[in-house]
Amino acid sequence: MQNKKLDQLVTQLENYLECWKLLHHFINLARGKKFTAEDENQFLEVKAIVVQELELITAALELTSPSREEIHGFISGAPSLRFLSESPEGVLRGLENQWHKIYVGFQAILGQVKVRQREIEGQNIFTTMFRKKG
Amino acid sequence: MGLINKIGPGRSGMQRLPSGAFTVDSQGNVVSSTVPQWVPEGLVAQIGQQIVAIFKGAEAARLPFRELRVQYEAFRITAREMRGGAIVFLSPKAAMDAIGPVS
Repeated sequence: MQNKKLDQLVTQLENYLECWKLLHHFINLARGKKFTAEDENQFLEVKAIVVQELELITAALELTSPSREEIHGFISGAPSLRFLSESPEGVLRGLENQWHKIYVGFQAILGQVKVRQREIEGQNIFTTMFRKKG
Repeated sequence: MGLINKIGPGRSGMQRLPSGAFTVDSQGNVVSSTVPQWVPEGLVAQIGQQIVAIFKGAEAARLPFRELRVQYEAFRITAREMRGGAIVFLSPKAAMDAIGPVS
């Protein structure tokens, strides 16, 4: 993969992780039962972005963990803030665990992409040095 | 403000108001979007760039904030800062009313 494409992928993954952070914020709002109709609307939009963006990421990367099924399972388990706010604490904890697993999984993927990015940068520097000497 | 000129009702008569959300990176490039395709890409990009510029300007002035809200009579733009980029929600009044009051 070219370095420019890797740069784009890093940006995309960073952006994606920020959306996941936002989902966690919404889970906390539901837990505290302090949310507005606007929060509910935004929660739906963030989930839509997460699902769409997942397809863009899987087109560039082969995901094993977290899997698409895990991510869709998480989204299906959180249909609305109202649903979450009315769910028992155990359900919220389970969802939070799922969230954490997915979030850490994507952080690991981001790390792997950054490693590849540095490897290619290293190769480019090496190539440039040889060109100058030649 | 540029945003008002671009979305204001006077500009395009009876045009529908866009609904959805999109994310932009720290350069103002749109990364992902749920905004329908009939909304010109250029318009979405311009909104995103202006939002990022506002967040950057605030940070440069050492008055950083995390959320920006532009409220029109029938339309609302809400943006949340995300590590230099942002997520932007576009909500026409009909969409705001659809959900109704919560709790």
